[in-house]
Amino acid sequence: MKKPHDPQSPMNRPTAPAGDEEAARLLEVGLSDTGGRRQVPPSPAAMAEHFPDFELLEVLGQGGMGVVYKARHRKLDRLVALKVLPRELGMDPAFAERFTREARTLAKLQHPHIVGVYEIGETDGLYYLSMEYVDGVTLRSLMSGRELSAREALAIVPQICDALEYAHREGVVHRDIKPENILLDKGGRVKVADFGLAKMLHRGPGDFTLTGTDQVMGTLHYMAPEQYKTPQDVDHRADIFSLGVVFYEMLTGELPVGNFAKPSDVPDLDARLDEIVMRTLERERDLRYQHASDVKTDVRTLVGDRDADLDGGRGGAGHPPRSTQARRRFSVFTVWALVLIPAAAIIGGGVVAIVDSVGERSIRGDYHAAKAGLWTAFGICGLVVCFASLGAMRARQRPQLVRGYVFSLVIVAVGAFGMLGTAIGVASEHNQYMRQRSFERERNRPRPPTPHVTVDGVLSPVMENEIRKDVLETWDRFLRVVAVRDLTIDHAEAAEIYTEEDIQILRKLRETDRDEFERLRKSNELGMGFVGSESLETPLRFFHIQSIQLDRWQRQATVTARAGGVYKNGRYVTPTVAFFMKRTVDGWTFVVDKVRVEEGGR
Amino acid sequence: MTEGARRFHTTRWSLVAAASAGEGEQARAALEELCAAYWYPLYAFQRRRGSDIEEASDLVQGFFAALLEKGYVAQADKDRGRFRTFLMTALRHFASKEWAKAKALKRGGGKAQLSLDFEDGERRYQLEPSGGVTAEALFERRWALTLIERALERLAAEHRGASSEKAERFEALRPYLSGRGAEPYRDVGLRLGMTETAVKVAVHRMKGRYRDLLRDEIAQTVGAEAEIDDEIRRLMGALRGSP
Repeated sequence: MKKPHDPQSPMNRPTAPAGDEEAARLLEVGLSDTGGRRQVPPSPAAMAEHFPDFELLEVLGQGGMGVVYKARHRKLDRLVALKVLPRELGMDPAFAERFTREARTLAKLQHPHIVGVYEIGETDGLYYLSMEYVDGVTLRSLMSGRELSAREALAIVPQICDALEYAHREGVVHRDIKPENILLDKGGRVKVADFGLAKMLHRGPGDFTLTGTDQVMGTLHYMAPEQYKTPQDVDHRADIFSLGVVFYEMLTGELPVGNFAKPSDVPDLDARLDEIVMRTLERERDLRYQHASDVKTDVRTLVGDRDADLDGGRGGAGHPPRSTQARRRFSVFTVWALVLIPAAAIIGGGVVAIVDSVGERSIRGDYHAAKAGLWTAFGICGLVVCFASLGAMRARQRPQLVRGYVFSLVIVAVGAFGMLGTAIGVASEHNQYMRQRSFERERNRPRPPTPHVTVDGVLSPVMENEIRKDVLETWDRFLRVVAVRDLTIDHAEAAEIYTEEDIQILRKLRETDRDEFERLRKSNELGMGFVGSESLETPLRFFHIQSIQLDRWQRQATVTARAGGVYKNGRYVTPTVAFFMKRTVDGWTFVVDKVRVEEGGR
Repeated sequence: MTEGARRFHTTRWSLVAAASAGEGEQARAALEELCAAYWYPLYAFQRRRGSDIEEASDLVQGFFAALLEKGYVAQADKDRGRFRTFLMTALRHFASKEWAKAKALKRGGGKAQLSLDFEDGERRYQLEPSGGVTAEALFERRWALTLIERALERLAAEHRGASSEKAERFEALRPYLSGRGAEPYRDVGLRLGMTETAVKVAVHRMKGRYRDLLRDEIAQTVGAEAEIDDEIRRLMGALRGSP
């Protein structure tokens, strides 16, 4: 006959509560709905009325996703696990649609390591799934009972990998891999349960309050970082992370939280497991294993490699050293750098050269393109160094925190600086080149032809001739005016632009008619609208009048002219300018009408 | 978190209650175990009702003997559903009706007896609060404490069984189960060589495990899983002195 328990003096009971209040609190812990977490599941008897096809035998379990009953299908006489989802779900109309859609996908999953879904349905507002009944235990209860050996863990993991790989190929992401969802039947065969249920129930970080804090704490540890950071962007690699957590927990009995230790810090564990486990646990999913099958392959290689003493094989001969991965990464980055830098130089230079040579090509253009290419290479170089260093740091697995952060900040700064330098360098090369090209264009521009003058209405030939003469004289003077203004702006530039002939005209004007020259130079009536017009980035230079439309009755002429090339929004354009010439007693005056900018053309 | 309920199907009290009188070796064994675990609250109850040490011991012993021998369970009001209420009702009934008869037979004459340590029981009884508590209230209070102690004892045993490190951890974190631990997690962590987060996780897990164990203990004494919460609330009321 057993005694109740150690019958010693009550004073010696170390576990006894200190007082009634504490005892009450200790009882309270046991309440199922602590923190609104769980409701008491309806008993099989209470549920039976909703499920006439099934004989409900017992409650198998309960979680945030409903209650699972062990049941027997009366007609088929087969045992099933009947999962009844929380009743509240039925009240959400969107759920019904999601439920049906997801369930169809799930029903297609047929795999020896996946708990099969037999049937789904809804009865009296209760949504349910009947699934394959697995006579066994969950990985959670297995682990809480005792510690698993590495050998056992390595037998379990590949089976999970198989299940995941299959489901991923079918386009199903589990999203909630954790020991509670991994079942082991009596023969030790692994069965992954609740595939896709997380998606069906829209369980995500936003729903944490619904499922209760405890539940979430349990689940959060298994979630990939992207599942709570960017829940809308989760792919199959999230499962690989969760698998890593389960793997880690099986090996060490701990969860990989915070600054966690390598699995091999647990005595008598093969150090080569570190590489596999750590790679499944990469916070950046691109650095993780990309496929569950890859995890399996690596685990299998390890098992096949040293089957004899997995649990005890620390650092034997012939092992790749632990830093293999770091080195491999370094070499990857080196190759990248060797390929990327020249490629960047060529591409950068090429792009600039092509852009620049759209119009006309010159030796100077090639020179600037080459320089821009170098700048690009410099920038890419910075980036490569930056990523290589970060990768190397990561591969070395968590150096001292502070040094690590400072170091990576410096690296990122170098990278950013490189890119900034590239941008500035390329832009300035391009700019310089474009300026030069515009100068060259101007220089090579042929002298403007004498404009064609049309006069409307019917005039006597004498009258028409006079007007023609008048206008042409004015045009000549106009040309000079513009030229003078330009000269006063920047002599150096003018020297680049104007032909010798232009300058001779101006010199002559300065010598012969000083007053006129000064008057023109100071005159603002022309320049106002043209020079430095706000939509143009460089001043208009000079005009080629294309036509002059003379209105005799209004005593005015409409002049259409083309200006020299200027930049607008970084593009070389040639504006067309329209303005009036008005005849006064003294002669023609110019009135600015509008500047119309058109691209291209000479 | 699904395995918590999985255990329920073999709870002892449901087994006992389901079996008919005098039948089933399993049922009997289960009842024995329950009696061995929860005799002390009954003893305290009887003492508070005025029995002296010897009488209370005899009565409880005799009661259990009758229970086990005669399938007394069958006569109990099983609809009440709970082992606790059943025991109390049955003991009262027994004390008023059967005790005299049973006493006439020599105590233990050929009958199965539970080996109960009444000396220990009496020592514990001496520590019970004396005034203002009815026998029923004392019984319920004791019952609650027994449940808690059993759950905690199992939890402690699990930790002790695991490693000395875990045993130490249990001792250190035990106060946090009820929120009694006043020391910041960081400090406890320093003592145990754990990070603050690790302490939090450990407490959380320990609490979860304790909760499972406690619910399991209670499950053994009620008829259905659904009653566990109700039982907890009732006992909390008993401890806090409100109905």
